[in-house]
Amino acid sequence: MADNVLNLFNTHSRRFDALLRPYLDDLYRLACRLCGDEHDAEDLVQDLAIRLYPRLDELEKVECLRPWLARVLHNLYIDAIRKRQRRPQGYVDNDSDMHLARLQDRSYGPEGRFELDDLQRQLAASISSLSEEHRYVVIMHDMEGYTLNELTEIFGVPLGTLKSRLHRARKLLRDALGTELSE
Amino acid sequence: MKCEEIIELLDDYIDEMLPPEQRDLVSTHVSACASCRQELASMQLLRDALRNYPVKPSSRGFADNILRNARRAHNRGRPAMYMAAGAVAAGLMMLLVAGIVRMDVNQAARPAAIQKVEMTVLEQRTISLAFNSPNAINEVTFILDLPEGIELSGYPEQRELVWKDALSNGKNVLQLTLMGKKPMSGSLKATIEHAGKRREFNIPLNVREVGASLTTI
Repeated sequence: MADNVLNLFNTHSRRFDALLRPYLDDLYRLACRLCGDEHDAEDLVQDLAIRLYPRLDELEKVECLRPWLARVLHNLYIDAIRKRQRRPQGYVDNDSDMHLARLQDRSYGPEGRFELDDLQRQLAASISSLSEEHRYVVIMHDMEGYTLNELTEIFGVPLGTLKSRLHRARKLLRDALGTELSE
Repeated sequence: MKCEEIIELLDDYIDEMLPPEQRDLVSTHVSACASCRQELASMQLLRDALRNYPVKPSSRGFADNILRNARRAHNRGRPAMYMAAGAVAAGLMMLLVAGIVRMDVNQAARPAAIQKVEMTVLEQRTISLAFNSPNAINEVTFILDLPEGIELSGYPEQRELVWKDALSNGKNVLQLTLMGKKPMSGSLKATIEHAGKRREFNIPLNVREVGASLTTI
């Protein structure tokens, strides 16, 4: 009888890496949008990875991982906000003025990788002025490209409610930006 | 359709959520109506600005660091889930391993004897562990604990590997390619868990500096 050859290719860490790595950049972008700070964003994604590591079997059964991961990340962010309300440190800052300052501070100057134009500066201010539920739907749909159907799963709200939030959020942004959106 | 009705549909229009008939209606209307065309252009400009709003790049080695830290966080103490996973079918009692019958493909077989592995720093050595099982066992948890100074090829910096596999009736061979990272003397521990039972095997290892004389076997 031939020997049975055991292999290492299904180790926990290797399976976890293969599953999560393709989504890390997307998760970082989303975390950046939510947190408004790249260091906080990396901390948030790190927190997510640490929590998911022992849940590999569950992860492997998820059909559409991208929106599933976005939902978990969003929930972690919300949890962090709640904790922050009790504890004055953490990787999110729920103060809209601080969030705005961080967004506007992303011009990075001549040595940075990019600079924001006037429209984007004003956009940053306008996004920060939105309520949380309006901001989330704009970030996840208009900025990060999650479909409305995916967002119904992520937020656990009906499609009609999401459309209404999105419509309202866009209206508020356009009103705030005014002539900036006139061509 | 009136302009007010068209404007109500523009969100769905740019989100591509309209059925084909309504989409055609909106397209036809905006091509003929300057006011609605302006409204649509404004919405699309906002949408483009949002899509293109930049994000500062992540730090160098971001993905590798995230995954490594997740692994380390759980390897510091073996997570309880691994133990639980190995404890399935607790009613079964099996003798898992008769012995490691051969340690090194290059060395003569010595049933049930564990030979010391000798290597030098930066040398790669492939060893074969043979597990004899009297029965086929579907779900077995394997755990390798590596001593400091030894690395498993393909798993840099990992001190512990945990995975599941099945054992066949008879000989089951696991090949490991080890690399000596620095001089050390210790042992690699291979553990097999099933149904709440566990067997441990310690494979003595000795890594010496290149050029150092071999003093013990």
